[in-house]
Amino acid sequence: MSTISPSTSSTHRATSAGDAEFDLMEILLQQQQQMTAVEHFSEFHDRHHPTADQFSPDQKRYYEKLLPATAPGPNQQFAFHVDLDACSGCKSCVVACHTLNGLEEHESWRRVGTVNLGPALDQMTDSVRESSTAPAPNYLVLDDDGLAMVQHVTTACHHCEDPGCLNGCPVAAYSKDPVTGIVRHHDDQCIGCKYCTMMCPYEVPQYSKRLGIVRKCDMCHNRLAVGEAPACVQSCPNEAIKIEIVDRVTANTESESLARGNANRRIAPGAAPSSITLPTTRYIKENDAEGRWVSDAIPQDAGQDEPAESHWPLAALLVATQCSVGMVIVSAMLSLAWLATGSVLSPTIPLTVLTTAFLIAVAGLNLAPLHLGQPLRMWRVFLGLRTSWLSREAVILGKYVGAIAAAIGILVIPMLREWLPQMVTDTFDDWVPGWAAMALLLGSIPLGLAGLYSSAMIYIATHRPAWNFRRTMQLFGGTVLCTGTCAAAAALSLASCLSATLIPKTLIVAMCILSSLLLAGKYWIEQRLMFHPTASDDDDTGLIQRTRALLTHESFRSPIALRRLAMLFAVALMVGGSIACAIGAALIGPIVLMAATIVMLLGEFLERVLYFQSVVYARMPGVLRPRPTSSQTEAMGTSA
Amino acid sequence: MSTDLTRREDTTAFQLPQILQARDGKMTRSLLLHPGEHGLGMTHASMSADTTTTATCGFCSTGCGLRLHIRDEQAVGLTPETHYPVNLGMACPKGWEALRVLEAENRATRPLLRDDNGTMRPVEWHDALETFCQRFRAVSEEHGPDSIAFISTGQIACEEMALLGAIAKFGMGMVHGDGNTRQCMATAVTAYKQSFGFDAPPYTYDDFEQSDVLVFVGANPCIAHPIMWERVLKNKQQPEIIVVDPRRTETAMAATEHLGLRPKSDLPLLYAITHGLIRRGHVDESFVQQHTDGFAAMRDHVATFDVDETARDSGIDPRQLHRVIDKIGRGSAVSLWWTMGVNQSYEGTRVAQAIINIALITGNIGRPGTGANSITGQCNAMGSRLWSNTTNLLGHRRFESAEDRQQVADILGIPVERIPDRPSWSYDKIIDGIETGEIRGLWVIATNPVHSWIQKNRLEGLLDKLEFLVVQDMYHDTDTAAHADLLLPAAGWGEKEGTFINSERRYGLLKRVRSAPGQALADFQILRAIAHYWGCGDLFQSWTDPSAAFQILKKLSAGRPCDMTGIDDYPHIDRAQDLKVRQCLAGCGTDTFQQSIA
Repeated sequence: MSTISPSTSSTHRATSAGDAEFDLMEILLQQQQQMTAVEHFSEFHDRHHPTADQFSPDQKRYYEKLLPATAPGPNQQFAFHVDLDACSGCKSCVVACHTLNGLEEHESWRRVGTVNLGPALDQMTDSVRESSTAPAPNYLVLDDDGLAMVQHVTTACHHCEDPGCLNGCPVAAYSKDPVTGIVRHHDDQCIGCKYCTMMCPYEVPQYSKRLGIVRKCDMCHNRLAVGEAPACVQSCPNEAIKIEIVDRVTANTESESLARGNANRRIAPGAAPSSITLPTTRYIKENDAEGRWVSDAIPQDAGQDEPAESHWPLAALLVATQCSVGMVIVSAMLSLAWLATGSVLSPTIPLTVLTTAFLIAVAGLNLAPLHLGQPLRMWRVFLGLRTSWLSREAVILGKYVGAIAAAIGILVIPMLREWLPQMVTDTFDDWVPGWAAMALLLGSIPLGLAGLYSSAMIYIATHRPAWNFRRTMQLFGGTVLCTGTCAAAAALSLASCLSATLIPKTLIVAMCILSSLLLAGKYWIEQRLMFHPTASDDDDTGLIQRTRALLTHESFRSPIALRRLAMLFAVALMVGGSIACAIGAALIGPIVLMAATIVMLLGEFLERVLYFQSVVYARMPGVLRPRPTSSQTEAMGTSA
Repeated sequence: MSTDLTRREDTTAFQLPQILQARDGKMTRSLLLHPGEHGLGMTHASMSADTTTTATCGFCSTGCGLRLHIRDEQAVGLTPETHYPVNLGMACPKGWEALRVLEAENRATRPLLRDDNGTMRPVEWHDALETFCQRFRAVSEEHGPDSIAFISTGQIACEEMALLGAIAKFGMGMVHGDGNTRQCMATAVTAYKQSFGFDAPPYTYDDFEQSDVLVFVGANPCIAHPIMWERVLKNKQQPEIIVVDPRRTETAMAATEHLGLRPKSDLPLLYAITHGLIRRGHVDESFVQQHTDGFAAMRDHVATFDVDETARDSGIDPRQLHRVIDKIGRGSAVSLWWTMGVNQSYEGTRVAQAIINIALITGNIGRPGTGANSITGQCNAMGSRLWSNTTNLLGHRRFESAEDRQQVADILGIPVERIPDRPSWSYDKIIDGIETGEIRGLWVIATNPVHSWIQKNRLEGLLDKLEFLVVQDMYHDTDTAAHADLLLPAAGWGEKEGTFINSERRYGLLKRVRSAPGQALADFQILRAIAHYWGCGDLFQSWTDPSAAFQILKKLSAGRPCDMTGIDDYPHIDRAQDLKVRQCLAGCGTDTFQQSIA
């Protein structure tokens, strides 16, 4: 029996006669770890690329014709041009984008969706096929021979003329390149608020949990800057993607109003109206001048709507600030009425109300940053004031809380007079007029309302039909009224316990009744919006209907039930609390009413989570997805 | 010379200071691209290379060239090879991700042996191979050498499958062994053998660009072979594209004629087309006379397939079928292509022959842009047809032929009586043999029958009936490995050397550019070790490494239609990148070897 001798020149270890087996395996394992490619083959490859032109890309020969020769002129920009007839759906562009740009495991800035044209498969019967008198099938034949057809749609950032992402960003983490029109994202500026993922109608910016920021397609700006093609353009075997120069419709008002005026124009089936952001990508299909591939096709993932992110810190922020502003308004109205009757108002009452309002608002504002991936960068939040409702919300609600804090300070200082240094109290007496607290209190109301308006506009501005003005304002406004009244009742009853001022029990009871009625009314509206189709809905896209359908998803069953329970429980507590107040049971009344407020806030929080999770919005065509298993569905439900 | 497409002289834009708008920083820089050397263009740091080398993709039979980015001797990334004549700088997603599969968590890293409790436990290679030999030998001694068999694959290099077949049959004395290629294109192989006398698809990818009529039967290259479809789209002849497929596939969408026939009506339809071609005088009489026989019998056979009637039976408008017949008949370079839609059917061989016959009677063969062309599937399915030593003796010889056996014995320097004188059972017979108790030991290499063979439940039951099942695979957790008594961990593509033959018969090179995980070994190394432990190492002394094995394969091919003696060695393949074995029709003479440099 002979041993096999080591084979490659790099291994010289001889096998010893004594321990042949052991050595053989050792040698084989060693050989396995030796890399031979460089040694054996690289010299030739390096010779192919002499140093002089080593930076000249080999692939240029293929993509050169897919790029414009120059930079865009004034009032022009770059755009993706997609030849749909050439796209065979291979997804090389998706993988090349991921690979050549060094993106994360599941990150790619290009996606490929699929649409079907023609009749649904289940409608296709032999009789349909036999009755067909097929003319020459051509590039686009729709349902004339009964066969469903398939079209793949590659999509990336559309480098919109009026980018939603850029407009929504509170910290100027986006800019639109003045020459190329490329919408670029500045990763080091991003705070990870994800608002751009709501503002972009095409789901382009994608959030990375690891990085705490979003990233998006920059049309391989770095490559274009040296005359190289973007990764997707380089990698398409069928040359289906190229870069072209297009005229900006925003160059003159006429073309812009034409583009904005047509709410039916979409770049792909199921996509949002192009009037929102003016996307620049052009999808070209031969023999389809009427764009039937858009109007008559069905995305494969049509109706495959899944619960969206819960955004629970945002839900908490919304509900807390709405409650805070609501109770300030209610308390201010009551105080004014009180003063109008000529009664004297003990400072304890506004102090209690304001402190409660302050604590609730601050709790919400402090939960909100949990939503951010990069909270330390948040200080730049004012940079977006010109276009971003999020920026406006943050700044204005900040001012609102500041005003309340100042008012509290003014009310507190006189109470602490004995413990404060002379200098402070003197300065206070000299500089702070007696009406200052009331002025700040009243001033905080418009600030608060402006802040709440901005909050609502954050979602309305996304143009998602389920978040339209009417629906959003009804829900948000309802929360202001019912929670504001309830919290004010709780605060007033507490104040009347703490201070000498006796607040009429009937007032507290009346407020409780009012709050219960408001809550019931709000709940009724909410139910109608969520579950009952109403004719007044402007729902030509069907997206609100799909939102309602999504709410029947099993993962929503328990939040919906809990929400109802919270509503009923809050009403019960208010009844109990008002009885306790009426019979004058010392601190029990205020405590029960505070519990009522907390339960009501929880209910509103659940309503808001449903508002976020149930939203179905227009999207670019996707691919048929397997239905999530029940365990996945449960996981989704609990994550809410 | 590079042009900056992002600057214009007349534009200066206001920008916020960086303290307010951080346009640069750690996160931005993490995606920065740098000018890549070696002709790579702008490159991300993760893929920057000291040097590059090209290897043939190991995913499918297209055989694309991938440019491996080498840093510190290991491949860190890849891009499609610009200069490779197959893919012309492109790759499909599988090619782009070729290195990623090597990093899979379920890679087999140590030999695993099932203990008495039925648990797979890591063992040393030495113990694994001792067990391998003892157990197989025990079965063989008790039940005879034809009671142990092997299932080969289209997924390993030519050198490896040749050594596997040689060791199993000439060394270990096995009679039965077949490949997973049985499942995909055995029908095409049989059709070619019966029609041409020798098996190999007679085309090059260039034919996609040269045809003026392309007929795809049961093939959807848009999805299954995207890079071949790339070549179709490069066709400048404005070709007619005729697609025969029950589904309106992506390829059918791009067709000029889609025959959306009823399932299982392909054979009558092709006969009707043949009949129509003959009736309209589209037969190339001189070609038929000089190069074919049996024309009259075929003509009589297809005469019963009336065009209109068959069209209606197939669910096709007769007018369309007439139009298609005209287009095929009038085409000056008609190529007909098929793949699994034909191969995997109950009368696949006959359908393939019907396609071949259309090419033959119209003289659409042996010229650029023509041919009856089977597109294969696995990366080295073509290699297995020549070199697996399963149902054919090495180099497409016959076990039954004493002359062939003698040739092989002489070339390999082994006693001729070591070569079985009867052909192997095919895959299905081997499986049946387990049921009847005729097969009691099985060695499965680089394939996963429980996943791919029909009647999964039956097969699983049968595998458990085996006295000894060895699985040699890259992954430790395949469906078949779950039934194994012994698992041998194999290195994968990129971790070993060797050659593949692609669909157009081009020899492509594999390179070792990644360390195999743990103790995984290249199949070639595992086989050398097995020969040694079995005690037949001296028979295979000259198979020292894949490049030496390649020289043996050259000798085995000499003078045969698959002659590749014109290839010097691996560096020659690497330099030329365009080395193909020329396929010749039986009787048309020269078995030549084509070489050109891209």
